[in-house]
Amino acid sequence: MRSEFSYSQEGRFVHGHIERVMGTRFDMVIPDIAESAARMIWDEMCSWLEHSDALLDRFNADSEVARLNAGQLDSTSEHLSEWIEMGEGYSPRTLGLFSVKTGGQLDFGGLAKGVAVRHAKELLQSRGVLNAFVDFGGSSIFGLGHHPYGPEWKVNLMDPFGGGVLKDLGLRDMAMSTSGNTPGYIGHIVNPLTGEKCLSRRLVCVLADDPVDAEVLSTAFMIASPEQKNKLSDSFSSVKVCIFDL
Amino acid sequence: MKESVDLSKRMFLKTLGSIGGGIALFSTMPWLKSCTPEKLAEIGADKARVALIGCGSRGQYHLTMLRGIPHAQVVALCDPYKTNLRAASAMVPGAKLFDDYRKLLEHKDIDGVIIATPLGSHAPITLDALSSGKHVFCEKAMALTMEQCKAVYDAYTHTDRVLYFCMQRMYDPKYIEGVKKIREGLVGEVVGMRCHWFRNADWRRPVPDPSLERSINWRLYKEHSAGLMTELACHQLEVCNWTIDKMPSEIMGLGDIVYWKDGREVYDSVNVTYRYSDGRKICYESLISNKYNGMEDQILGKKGTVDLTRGVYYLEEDNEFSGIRQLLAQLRDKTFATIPAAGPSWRPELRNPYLPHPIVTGPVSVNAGQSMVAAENDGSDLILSAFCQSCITGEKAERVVEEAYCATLLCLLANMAMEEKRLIHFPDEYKIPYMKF
Repeated sequence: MRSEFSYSQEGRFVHGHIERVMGTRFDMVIPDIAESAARMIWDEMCSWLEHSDALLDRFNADSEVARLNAGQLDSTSEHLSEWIEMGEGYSPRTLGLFSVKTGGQLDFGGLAKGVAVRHAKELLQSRGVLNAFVDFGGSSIFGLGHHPYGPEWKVNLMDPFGGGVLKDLGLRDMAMSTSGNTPGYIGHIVNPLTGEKCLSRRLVCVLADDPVDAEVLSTAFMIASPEQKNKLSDSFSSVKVCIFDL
Repeated sequence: MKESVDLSKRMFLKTLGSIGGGIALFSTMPWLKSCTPEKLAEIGADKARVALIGCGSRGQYHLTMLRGIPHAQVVALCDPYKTNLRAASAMVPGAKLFDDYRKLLEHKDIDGVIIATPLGSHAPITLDALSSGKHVFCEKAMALTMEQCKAVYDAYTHTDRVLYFCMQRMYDPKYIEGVKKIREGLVGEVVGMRCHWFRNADWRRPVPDPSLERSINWRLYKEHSAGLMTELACHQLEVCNWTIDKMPSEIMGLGDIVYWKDGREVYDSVNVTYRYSDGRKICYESLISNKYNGMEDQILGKKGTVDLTRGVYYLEEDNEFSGIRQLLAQLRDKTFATIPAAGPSWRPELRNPYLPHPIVTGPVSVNAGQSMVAAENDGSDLILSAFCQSCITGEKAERVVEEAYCATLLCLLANMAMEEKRLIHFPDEYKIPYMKF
């Protein structure tokens, strides 16, 4: 895993960047922080990501998940068991619409980025950081505190079918996760109850305090029926969901 | 006349004025030294007395250029095909007319010849012209066979005459500036090159009499032509070598006649891979029954891509994390705005739109690659002007012949690889000291 860390004396901020981890890029921007303090946070984050990716990456034949999926292991490590437990904990809460087990295979694709962003959030808070922006692949974002020159962190949601900006979002101590089909990539979300692929031109954006809730729900709302949507909204009452049928 | 002098000066300044770099530029691109406006001023009112051998479409294009070059005077024309000779003669009425170039070469009042004949005759005419003491400007490619190329190169190393091959990209501002910026690290380490030339046309000219088929449509027959490689790829391969200052050591490829099955002998579809000793490759493709992809010379770097044909470059970072980049810019500028960051989760690596950045400021002439004769402002005018200047000063243009030799060899070796369906290692007997493998 290749990571870059830069400190801007002039702008008084740090930027940590990983070109590729868990299949995408990871960025963390922290304004108004001493370089050495930021460096320690960044190093810790990198080590967590590297370790988790090595455990969970189902496309890496050496990872525990890949070996389990290939039937090469009889038992799971304690660490992986915790991940499975966390994932499966969401199954009843999402009416079975979210699961890390599909077709007998483990897949943490819809969970891991959310967990990583939550880890980043907790890490930053534990070090007394008040403001920071965490972006995992553009689809899992957390705005801690606010932009140094504004009251929140503002991002806009782009239409993957080229229709421009769908929505402006303000994040203040708020996580955002998006799921959806794009013109070149359709059918990657599968309903664990029916085995059906979601093929609709839909984009779901969820805002939640907890990055993992946001991550899980953005997937669940992609495939939920109108009745299921109502039930989900009831059981996750504090989240805000935007569904775009494009 | 004042206006014409200005035209030549303008050609040079248009090319290099915007680029700058002065002496540093001349040390890396020394062929430009021989045609500076200062040297042009030194020659005063002198004129190079030049003759055109080969008065077809490309030859007539050179005549058009020559009429705008004040230090050139076209004194003779030669073509065995009367229709072409007449057309050229109408463009330069006072010029003496010949149907045999040997007769033309006997005339002492000719300083230099411009050869725009079919490829098969480049080497014999060049060699004869040098032996008769003429300066020579010859169209690319250098010659039809590797033996001929070597003979021309050997003659060049022994002659005091000036020799140019029309490698006009070496005189094209967007290429000069592009190569300069690549070497300065614009797109990081160069990791590969992709060049292609697509057209959708049969490559034929109308033939008034069937007996003239092979001489008018010479590009289609192996006795005169080496096909797409020498006619199109030659320039592009030259650019690749020039950019990274190396020569590939291995060549493989596949060639076929896919669509134009009209009796032609040369391929209408070629896919060739050149490998340098460090593993970098040129991926070359040409097809003349589909023009969707047009012509491009792409230099691929770790941090970006330069499309020399269009005079633009693209940066990987623009595409990869533009939202974050905008956020960082805001923090630097102490401003607050929305970041276009969020979109659905990761997707496979499709080709996403990149933002083009211009290599040179001001208008750029882009060759769409569809003309069979020439493109505008592609350096052809300046290289011809440089030749005429050299005819007067006797100053050679460094590296032009070497670059033409290297590029032509690569074209001919690709044909060999395609015909013999095997991986070719660059043959030792055709290596020259200029080449770095």
